[in-house]
Amino acid sequence: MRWFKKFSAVAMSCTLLLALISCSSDKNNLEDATVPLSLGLDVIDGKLHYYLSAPVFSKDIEKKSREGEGIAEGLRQARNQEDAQFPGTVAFRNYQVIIVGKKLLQYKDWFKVLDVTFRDPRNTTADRIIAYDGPVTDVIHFQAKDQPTTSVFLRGLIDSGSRRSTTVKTTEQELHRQLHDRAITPAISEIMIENNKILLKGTTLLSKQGQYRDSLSYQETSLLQILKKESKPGVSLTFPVEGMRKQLPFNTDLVSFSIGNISVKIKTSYEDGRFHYNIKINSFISITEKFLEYELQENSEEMANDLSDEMKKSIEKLIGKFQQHKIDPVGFGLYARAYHYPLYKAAQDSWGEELARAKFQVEVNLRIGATGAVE
Amino acid sequence: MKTTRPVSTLQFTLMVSAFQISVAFLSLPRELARQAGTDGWIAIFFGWGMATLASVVLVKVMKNSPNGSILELIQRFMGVWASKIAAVIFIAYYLPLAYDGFMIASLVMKLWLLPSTYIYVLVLLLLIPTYQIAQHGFQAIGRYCEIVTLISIWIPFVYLSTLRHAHWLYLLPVLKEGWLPVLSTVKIMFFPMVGIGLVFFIYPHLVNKEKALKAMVISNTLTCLVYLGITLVCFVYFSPDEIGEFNDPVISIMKSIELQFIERVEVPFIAFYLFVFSCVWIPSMHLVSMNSAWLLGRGGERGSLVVWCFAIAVSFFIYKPSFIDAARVNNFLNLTGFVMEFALPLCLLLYVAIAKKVRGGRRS
Repeated sequence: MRWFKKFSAVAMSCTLLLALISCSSDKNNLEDATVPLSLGLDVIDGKLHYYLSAPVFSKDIEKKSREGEGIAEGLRQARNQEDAQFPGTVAFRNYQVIIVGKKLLQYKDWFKVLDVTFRDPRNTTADRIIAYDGPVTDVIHFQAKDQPTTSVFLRGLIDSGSRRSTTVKTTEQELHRQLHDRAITPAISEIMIENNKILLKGTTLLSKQGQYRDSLSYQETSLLQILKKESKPGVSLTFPVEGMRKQLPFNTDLVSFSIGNISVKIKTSYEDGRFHYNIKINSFISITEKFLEYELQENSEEMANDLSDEMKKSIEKLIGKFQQHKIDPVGFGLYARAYHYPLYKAAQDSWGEELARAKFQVEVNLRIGATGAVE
Repeated sequence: MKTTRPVSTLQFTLMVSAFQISVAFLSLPRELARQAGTDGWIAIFFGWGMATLASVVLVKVMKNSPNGSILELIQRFMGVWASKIAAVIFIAYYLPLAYDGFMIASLVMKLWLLPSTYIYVLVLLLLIPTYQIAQHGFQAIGRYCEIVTLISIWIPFVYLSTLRHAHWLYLLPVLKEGWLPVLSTVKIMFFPMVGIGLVFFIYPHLVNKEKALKAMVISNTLTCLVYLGITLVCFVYFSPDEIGEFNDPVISIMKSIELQFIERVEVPFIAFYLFVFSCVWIPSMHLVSMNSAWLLGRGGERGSLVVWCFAIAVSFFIYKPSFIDAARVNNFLNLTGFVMEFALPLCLLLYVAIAKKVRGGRRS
């Protein structure tokens, strides 16, 4: 039996060696690979264009990234084209951001272009989706001396913005969810280029098919995030207090406050053939900025009521906007599905229209918890 | 008989649980969602109930044979040839189970980790530790399962971290389409509970035979808690309208986790999950070799294990399975699993009871 043991040991080590050799085809040296960090998608003359931006790791090269572009019918189909433009193989894709041109957003179901990133599991799906109103090539080829590589910069922009609720943080996976779930419509981040600087613009709202519908400003995005219950503490809102406006270079009638703990209660009911939503928002706020001459100590209730009214008006206006475009970025449909399933089920395939007919009742109850260190 | 290598209650519990979990962990949330939507998780309770009932029956059967495996019991009650036929049946059951385990593990590994490596190379690499552990019998396997449990404890915590993106409203309303879809889903809950049949062979090795039933109930409960946890985590993360689209929601959900130091959390997860996976094919291979040794009537367990390992390696070399084949084998095992671990023990129990009565009647 001893020879058998020896033989099996030798055989095993041989197989191990062989196996390791054949596994080596799966390895990829970083030196030989190009790792594009951002992907741009745009439509020019009715054709899908793609743009890539990959970082270049070298001290001697001043420009820290290299860009590629081309016309593609599908992302995977364009792979040879991509390889032809970069020194290494464009092997694994670790996109941090995907920039989608507004022209592409005119088309229905454009999201299917990204099928490969779900089908090939080596791709990440945590990349942020960003809309840009204009030619995407401007963003991809954007260079500034005071800014890191555009891909990294954009990711940071979205992350810090979503922490402050000035934009949404919609990753590819999240967009997949929002597009597939019939009870909600997607919202993605939006950027713009102004005075040769990339800036965060707010949020883009899409229809159920992924088409562009509307854009939201920072404050509207914050309200959207509050309604979605996804706002983090520290959201800052600014509202005018009526009848106090004076002509000065700074708006004296504005009061800014930051929201601490916020409780959002959404109740639904179904009456007269339409859904009714009752939204109750309770929060303690702390005043962070005010220019007016206003005795906060004595009139704090009045001030809180004024601010509550303003916030209520803004929310109603925002919901009106959603209804006008027949979209549901908040996900009111989730509540309908959870509490009125048979009624929702009848309307789920045209939920946008159903929501447009719904009635909303908003109650905002803010209480001033802190006024800051000065009167 | 062979009590020289006793198996403790903890080892037994973990062996059964690990066997059950490794069989269906990856596919269960998807299957439940496809069959019963967001109410699929209710079916898990039915699975628990059935498995517990079957465990009671199994232990009752094995009480008749405290010192020998099921094959010795059958030999005693039905004769040598019946036990040989039973051995063939057990081989025909555990071999596809092991094969299925290898197939799914290698396919998942190929898809997610090593796309250009051949499947047979992966299987070959998996077979080497399998042989080393399986040749030493249930005690070694039991110890191995203990280690696997210890090093897999971090996995649930990773899943809990996905709850940041949870949408609890997805679970409401409970029973949105009534009981019918849930009850019709119960039929796919047999396969995930497969593994209780191990008691047929482990029972004679148990140190505390009177605790066998308790251990099995605990392992069924443990398995169902794991299933319930992963199913709910998947259901609150994925929208009910999209979950059916993902082939492995259990792995896909990992992609939402962003850590500073690692981008694809699913890579170490799959590599670690191979340990859990191995808890289905290692006992299965051991049982296959044990049964074929019984069939030949000699104590050549190790020899037959070599032969079977070799056969599996060759089969993967000749025949390259696909995910579609894996689904087909799964369907087959769902049925045979029910027959072998739920129906067969009941038949055996009835037979043994009747045979005992007849014999007892003769004696008096």
